[in-house]
Amino acid sequence: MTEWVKITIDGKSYSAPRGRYLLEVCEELGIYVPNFCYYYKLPPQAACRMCLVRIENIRKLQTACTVRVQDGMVVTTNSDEIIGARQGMVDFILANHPLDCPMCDKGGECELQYMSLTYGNLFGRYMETKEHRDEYQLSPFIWLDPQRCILCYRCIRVCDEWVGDHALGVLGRGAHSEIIGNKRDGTLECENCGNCVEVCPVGALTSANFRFRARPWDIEDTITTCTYCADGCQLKLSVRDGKVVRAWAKDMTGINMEFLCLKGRYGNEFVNSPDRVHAPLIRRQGRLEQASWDEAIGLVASRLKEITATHGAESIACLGSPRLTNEVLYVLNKFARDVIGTPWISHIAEHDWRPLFNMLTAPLATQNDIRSGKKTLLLIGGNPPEYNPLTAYSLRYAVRENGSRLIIVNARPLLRLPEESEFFHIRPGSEPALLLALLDESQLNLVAEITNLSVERLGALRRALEESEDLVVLIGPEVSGAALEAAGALGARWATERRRVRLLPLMRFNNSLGALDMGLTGDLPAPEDIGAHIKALYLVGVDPIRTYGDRWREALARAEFVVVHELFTTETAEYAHVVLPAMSFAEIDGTFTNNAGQVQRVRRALESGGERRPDWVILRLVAKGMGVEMDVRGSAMAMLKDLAERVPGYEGITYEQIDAEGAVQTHRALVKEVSWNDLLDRLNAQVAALDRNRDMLTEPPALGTGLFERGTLIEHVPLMAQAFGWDGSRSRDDR
Amino acid sequence: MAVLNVIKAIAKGLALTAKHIPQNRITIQYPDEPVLIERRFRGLHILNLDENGKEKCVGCYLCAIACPADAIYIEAAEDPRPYEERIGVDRRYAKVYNIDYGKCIFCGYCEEACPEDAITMGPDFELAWERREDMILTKDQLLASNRKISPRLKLIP
Amino acid sequence: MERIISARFDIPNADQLDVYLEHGGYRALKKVLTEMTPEQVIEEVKKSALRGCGGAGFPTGMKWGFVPKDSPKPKYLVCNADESEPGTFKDRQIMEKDPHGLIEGILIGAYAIGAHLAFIYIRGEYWYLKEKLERVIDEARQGGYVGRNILGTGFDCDIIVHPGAGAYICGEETALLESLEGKRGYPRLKPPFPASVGLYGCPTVINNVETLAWVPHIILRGGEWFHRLGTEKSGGHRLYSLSGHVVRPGVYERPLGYPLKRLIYEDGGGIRDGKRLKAVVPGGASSPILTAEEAESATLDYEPLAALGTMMGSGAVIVMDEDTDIVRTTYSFIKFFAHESCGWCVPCREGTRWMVKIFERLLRGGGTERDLEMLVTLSDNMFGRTHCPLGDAAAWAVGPAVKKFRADFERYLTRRGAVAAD
Repeated sequence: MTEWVKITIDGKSYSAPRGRYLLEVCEELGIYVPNFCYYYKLPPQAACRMCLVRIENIRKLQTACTVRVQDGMVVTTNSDEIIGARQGMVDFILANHPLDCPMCDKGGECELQYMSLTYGNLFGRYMETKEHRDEYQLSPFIWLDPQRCILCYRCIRVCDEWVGDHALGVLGRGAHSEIIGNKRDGTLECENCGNCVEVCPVGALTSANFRFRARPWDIEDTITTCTYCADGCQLKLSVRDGKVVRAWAKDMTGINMEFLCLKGRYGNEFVNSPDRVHAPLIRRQGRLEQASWDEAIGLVASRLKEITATHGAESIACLGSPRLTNEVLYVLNKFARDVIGTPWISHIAEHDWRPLFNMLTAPLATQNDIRSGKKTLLLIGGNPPEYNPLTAYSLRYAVRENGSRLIIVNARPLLRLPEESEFFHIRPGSEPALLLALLDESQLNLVAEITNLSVERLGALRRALEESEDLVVLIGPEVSGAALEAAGALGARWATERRRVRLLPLMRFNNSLGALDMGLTGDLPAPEDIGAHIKALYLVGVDPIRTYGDRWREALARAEFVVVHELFTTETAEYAHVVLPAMSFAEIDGTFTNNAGQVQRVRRALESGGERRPDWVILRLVAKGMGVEMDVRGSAMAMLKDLAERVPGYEGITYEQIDAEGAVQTHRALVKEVSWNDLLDRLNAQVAALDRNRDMLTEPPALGTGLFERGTLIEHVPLMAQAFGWDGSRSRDDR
Repeated sequence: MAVLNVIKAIAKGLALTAKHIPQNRITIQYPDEPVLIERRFRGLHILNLDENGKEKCVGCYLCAIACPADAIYIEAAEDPRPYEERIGVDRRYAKVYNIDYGKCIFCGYCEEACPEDAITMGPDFELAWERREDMILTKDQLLASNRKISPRLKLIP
Repeated sequence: MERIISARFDIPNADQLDVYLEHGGYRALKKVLTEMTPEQVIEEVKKSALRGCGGAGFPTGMKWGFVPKDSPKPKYLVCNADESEPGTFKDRQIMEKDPHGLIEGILIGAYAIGAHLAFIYIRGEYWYLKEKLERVIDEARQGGYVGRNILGTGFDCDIIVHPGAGAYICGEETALLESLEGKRGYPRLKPPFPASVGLYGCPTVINNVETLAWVPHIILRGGEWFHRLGTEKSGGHRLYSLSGHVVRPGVYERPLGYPLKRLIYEDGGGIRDGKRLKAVVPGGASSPILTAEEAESATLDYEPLAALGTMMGSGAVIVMDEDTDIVRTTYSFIKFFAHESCGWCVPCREGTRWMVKIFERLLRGGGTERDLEMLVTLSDNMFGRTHCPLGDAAAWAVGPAVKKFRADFERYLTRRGAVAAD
């Protein structure tokens, strides 16, 4: 329980929670205390000395960012003495700082600029020569200008505490101190998340993609949701002249606080790519040629009708991408089921998560659930720092701020998770056995043999769960089939009156869960089926060749008719008969559902060039061409309303609610009665089939396994392609 | 009487004409004669160069934001070469610098905003183009090195 | 005057265990381990009014008393032998001439706070002393005075000697802890104080070499006896490092409250070559300078020196004669501080560099009246606003010097003055 104490600030009395930092209290009370090195939820540094205040009965001025509030404290934040001290500090900071703001990339949004205007002297008093230091590139994404650096150490602290890369440090002493990277030559070897750039108060750290491209006053920011992993970070897309110039984290209010990962920050410029498909393409004599919309839609509609007439509606399969918005997926589902009438409606995914949601017995854990309060966090499989970076940041936060207990069960040691975590090293592929141990205590001996953990260790793991009062289980994609069902049933097995259990599936795509919710739950056609009983494929934003490999290449070649909605001419598009140009996430309105079931807004940040259209408009046009008027309303907002009426769990969700709350969690129906015998039978069967002789893996997955992976979208980001040495995108060679 | 009044009026008019005949002429026979331009006249912009011929503009966008007519468009870029080889005085320079004279109102705010004295208003007042596209002058057209002062104007010393 | 801590300095080979034992060595340790409880030891030290001899002058008994008794964590004692304050060389004498006295003090301190591991953090420049101390500790270990089951009493305590890497800031106790942990020597935020969260997050006491070396004497002869030697608030004797333009520089053991004048003229033999006194720095480079008049009246004790606007510091008295150029002296001090500033906080990092640059300009002959004002302003802006006392020390080295010896500075304001000084 927080204890409230009386304090006096500038002659007025307030009550404040005991032990909070004075600066935070002042900020909440709306009393401005200038600061540079303070940053929300980073350990205090007290390096800039801007937040000096006078506290009665203390001889020296005190830094408000390090003083904790005590009862009866009398504070002065504004007096001639303090203003003089602040002026002195700005003088010191500006002493060696270049005064060429027009040249600096931070100009216009620089905290030092604001501070100089507020507290600086009109004329600089520094008459000596400045020591010039050259700007250089720390990594392909990050530049450093050491002379502009005011050594607030925010970057170092954010890297140590939030990201866990420990990639930045200080070289030299005194006035020669310099921020430096962790490699021998002083450059960076890290995940390049750019959070150091985000927190830099001055223009010392800058992003390679944004440098010099725009000024803060001539860009427009739109808050939207990231289109990479399922964590669903909120980000601001800055647009200048119809081009995305940078992605910035939303200011503290998003589920990701103020942090993004490499992909979220630097992976959005595919939107600007000149390789985007800009007009409909129709295959003529083996080549894709530009066509008009009427022509393309007419062709698609007539071919689909023909195939339905000759082979039946079941011969058409529709596949959606888990990157599409809920609205598009909803319309696609309707299109497949009502307009075409096929049961083959599915989405492609790296992993089949359906068993988990069929057996869900505990609510999903949000990022906030991980971060608030003391918890036990059990991570089974997965590699959050690489595939779900925000979850990894939240795990670090939970351990650091709340002393939560993190238990990692994995076949490989993982990097960049808190050092304080407990690690259970299991045999690769033996995750089902481990879940068996969590559900059924009688089989520990068998499990011990399979997982290569001793019975005592398994006992310790069970005990840790028994001791927990608030349990969050994070499930990675190594858990599949019956084991995934078992994971879903953990809630029924472990939740008691004094123990809450919540689950978090570590999904890879931004709307994997949305795709399941929108009913794209049919089975995926096997490649052999194509050309056999499946004659036509309707692909919305998917590239099965890339996802599932070359077996699909032949399958697509056998198909009679392939339609693709795409941003780029992917490998799959090469086999398409018609390619329809779609809009990217930055060009449409809509919603995404993240892995915690939170619905968040996708907002249109820029006008799409060319003749592109949103996917749902294209679907409606095709339906119309086939003679069916779809019952779809004219805007994404109205569509959400329709969707909310029909999709279970989305009841009552509106744009207004999302705008007000940021993220709205869906109400997920939980399985009430688990038939344990059936479940354990299935799980036992899965365990029995496991290979018990696989060698243990001792090498942690390398840095960048997931983050630096090439993908359909990210390969079109010039900075990424350059940094990771990807050759020019494939589609460019074709043209 | 009426006739007399008319004659009087004509005589008055002719007297005024006669008074002006010996005086200096003000009308300039442009374009046959050059026009006299004040030093501080605000005409077509000039992008200045430093003493070594490097572009002074660092692409800071301040003129663009100062411009009330939104006539200036800039794209800044980086030129990491040493001073001797690069285009501008600093590693940061304007790759694209366009002024749309369809919009410009010759207020001179850009000149005032410029921290590098890179843009100044020149004396050139001949602002007629045949097509709208031509009214957008690019960096090459604005650079001091590519500009000749029109023979049809003369600066007042 | 009786010499207590320096009594063994003149005994040949007092650094050998047998000689040390002959001269009353390890008797105090034996007494403590067999007759006294840790509380009694702390009580005795509190009674003695022993104050830390490293510079800050914090009462040692009180510091020991702050260590939580019920903490489940291990506790550590760290001996601060990073003697890098310019002008100070007393700890070197102790480690060189009477190292067993220090070891005994460390063991008693460790017993008092319940530590079973003690560290001696020695400055990197004292490499030969590091080797010597290691030899001495080995000798003591073989004699059963260090290590497991000391003197058969069941008390365990080992001592590790750790060399610094030559940073002045690592003499600041929390920076020392960081350095000891293998990190960059940055001072920590206080609170929490090391007594509760110190080395590796455990309760830690950090004491100066001399402070610890006094402890055996206090134990043997009683706290009250020690208190009576000094003044009311600060007990006992101190080792003064007398240097500069005196006839006999060196380490002198004198009581607290001793007149500075006597130290210079009687013990030090007066100013060299019969010159006149110009200025005295009474407590190492971190303490503000005193003019000759102030020095004449000063007594060497905490409060009287504080009243003069300076401080006792580490007892390093630097004497300057009439030929001394205060500008150059101050320049060398501020250059030292600029070099040693850790770079953590703005005022110290930028302020010291700024002042060095002003001094360099002054010395080149490009100074103006404004620069002198600027030096005073800068030292005012730095003083009391930095993260650790290094910034205060740097400000103190400059501000008072400019104010008190303005004439010296004004000589540099004309180019001719600068040339003449060269």
